Amino acid sequence: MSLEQLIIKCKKNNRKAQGELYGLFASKLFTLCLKYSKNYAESEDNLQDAFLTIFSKIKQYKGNGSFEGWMKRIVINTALQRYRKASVLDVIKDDVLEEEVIEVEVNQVPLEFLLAIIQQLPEKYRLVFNLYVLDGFSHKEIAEMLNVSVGTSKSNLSRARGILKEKIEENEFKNKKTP
Amino acid sequence: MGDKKNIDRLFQEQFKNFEVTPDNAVWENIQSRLDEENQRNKKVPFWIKMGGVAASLLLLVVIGISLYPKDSIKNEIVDVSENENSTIKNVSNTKKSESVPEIIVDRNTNDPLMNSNTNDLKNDPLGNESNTIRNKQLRNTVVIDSKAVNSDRENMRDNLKFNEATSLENDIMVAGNNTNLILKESSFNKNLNELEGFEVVHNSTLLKQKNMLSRLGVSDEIEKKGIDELADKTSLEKKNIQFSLTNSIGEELTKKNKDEIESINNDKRSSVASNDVINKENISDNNINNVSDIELVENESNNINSENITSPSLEVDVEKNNLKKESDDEEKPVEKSIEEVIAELQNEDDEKKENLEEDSEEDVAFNKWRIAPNIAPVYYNSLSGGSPIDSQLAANKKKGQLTTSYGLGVGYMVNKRLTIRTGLNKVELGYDTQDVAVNASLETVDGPRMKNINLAPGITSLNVVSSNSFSVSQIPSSFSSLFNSSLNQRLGYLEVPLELSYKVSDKNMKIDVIAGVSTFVLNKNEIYTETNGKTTFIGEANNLNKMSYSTNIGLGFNYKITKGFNFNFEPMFKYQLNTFSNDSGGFKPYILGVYSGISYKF
Repeated sequence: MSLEQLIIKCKKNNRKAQGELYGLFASKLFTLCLKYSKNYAESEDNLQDAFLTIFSKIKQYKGNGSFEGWMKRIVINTALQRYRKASVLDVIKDDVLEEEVIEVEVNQVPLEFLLAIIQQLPEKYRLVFNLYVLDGFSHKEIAEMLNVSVGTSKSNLSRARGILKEKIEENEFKNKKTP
Repeated sequence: MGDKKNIDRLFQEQFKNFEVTPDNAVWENIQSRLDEENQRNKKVPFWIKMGGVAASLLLLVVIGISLYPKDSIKNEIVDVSENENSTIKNVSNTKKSESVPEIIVDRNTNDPLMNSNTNDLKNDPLGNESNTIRNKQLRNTVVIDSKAVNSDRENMRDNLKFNEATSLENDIMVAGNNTNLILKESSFNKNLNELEGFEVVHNSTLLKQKNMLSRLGVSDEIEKKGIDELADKTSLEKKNIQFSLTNSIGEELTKKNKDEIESINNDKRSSVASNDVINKENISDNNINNVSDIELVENESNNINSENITSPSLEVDVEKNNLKKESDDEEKPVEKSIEEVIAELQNEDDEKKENLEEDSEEDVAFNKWRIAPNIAPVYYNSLSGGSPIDSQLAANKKKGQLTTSYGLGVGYMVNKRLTIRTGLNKVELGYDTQDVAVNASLETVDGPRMKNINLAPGITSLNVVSSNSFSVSQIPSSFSSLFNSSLNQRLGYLEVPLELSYKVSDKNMKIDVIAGVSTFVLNKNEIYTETNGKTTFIGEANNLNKMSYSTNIGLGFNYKITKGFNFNFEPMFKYQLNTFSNDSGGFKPYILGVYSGISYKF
């Protein structure tokens, strides 16, 4: 069955088709969830919510742009919504930093480690870093999505990079010490 | 040691082909949530459908009822007026195109009952188009009657056979009755008296001739009963007629005329029946027989007298109908057993009494328009929780507010049971979202905003946090005292309802079922915070529709105070359909109101 046929059936609320669609994209979207969430459990919750949104909104997908892109956007929005709901009291210093190129000296860093340090980032930093670096949104887009200024987005990104660099280097140092 | 690497590139490369398959439990959860949602989706349209179906059904009924009886009433009125005109104007008007066999019959002078009146019976070339057929039959009947009388009085003379033949063939005409009816009332009445008498006697004759002797075994009692009832009936009839006289010609009149026609026919029928018996039992004693006949007939003729005096043409019509039916009845009703006839009479008697009562009541109370100022306490809340202000407040406790609605309603009674109503109400609605921490400040705080609120001028920043966003341990102790605020959303609407009410009970306390739709026009949109009794205006919601609709359903109780004035008491449930333009946050508002007021009918 082609993706188009699958989408048509999903629009008719066909449970079997919904299952197939889930099977096709769950892994890819779950990865996305993992990056945007602070832990595995939250990722699962986000994936579940995202798929529920996908199934309820699939009628609104008119075939403009890639379907995968559309679903990814929903996953990201789901993550952002959770952030909006829960992190209101996150107090984050917003003084604007100059954008700088941050480089690290590394050999091979395991993926699990990278994922872990992303998840450990403060929520706002994690979102900005993911959106900008891994999913290619511009600062302007990010600012709109997060209801913040462009400057804030830039400075958050910078801080995120700084934290990540520190952690990677820390890890390198540890590895060197105990080979 | 590795080389220096841009940290962005490091992540991008590593994550490029990264995929993790989620646990199967996720899909299980999704499935069960989908099931839940399907059920919920089924629940919501139920109200909409209910309201829609009820409204459209009632609308159909209205259309049906308003179209059907109006037409028939109109026709009847037209018919009557035509007859009227034609009878009055065309009394002497003749249309010779009617080829009517002309037979002149001389009155028998040896009948002691008909000495004074010596009208010749001759062909009446009366040509009212609409009445022709009836007239024909009327004349036929009259001829038959007179001849039958002749035959009876003269103990079955030679002409009996001839009479019988002619009566069955229905092609003999009698002269001048129509003109007499109007122009010579007195003579007509006498004449009619006699004719009625003839008829009665004739019936017996016919009966004899047709060997309907099987009904002989009926006791005197039954017979008397029949006659008593007949007397009741005639008095009722008189009432009825008097009643009709006080009314102008209208739908009631036509209806009543119908009733009269029926009842008079019944009288005739019963006279036929009772006379049968009388005749059978007193075959030898014609005189006694005649006396009772005459009495009956006199009642009849009295009616006819009054009818003629007041609205000659109409009543003539009625008479004609009677006679027409009579001619049919002559053959058929006698085949019914007396018991049947009596039962029928009783039924119809009752019906008639009911009609009488209903008619009189209708005339007094059937004022089509009513205006009803009303006031109501209204309660506003959501069927499903949710929050149109912000999704984080969806789970917070909502407290509906008791506010007021007042306005003026107008109703039009389509018929006795169905009313179309509309009006204009001013409604204030409101509800509280409880257990929130609110921080409205004049400083710019860069943080997430409540996107469904446009802040009031002067307030540049608003942070609202639901206590539900945190587990207890997460709440810093310094904050815990802050979750004592509530958000108060106040809405005001102008409401234009369009409803149908159908009366299900018409007792002292009238009960209506009401269904319809309302259009709401937004005229107030405010959000306040309330902390420790202090209320602050913070802005307005930007996701409210200017126009929204609701489906309404309810019950109406009406109690009559005085003539024209009623006390109304109407609990209504209104389900708002599209209050919010987007993002309703799962808030499904309804309005519960108990509308009371005094309506005036005119």
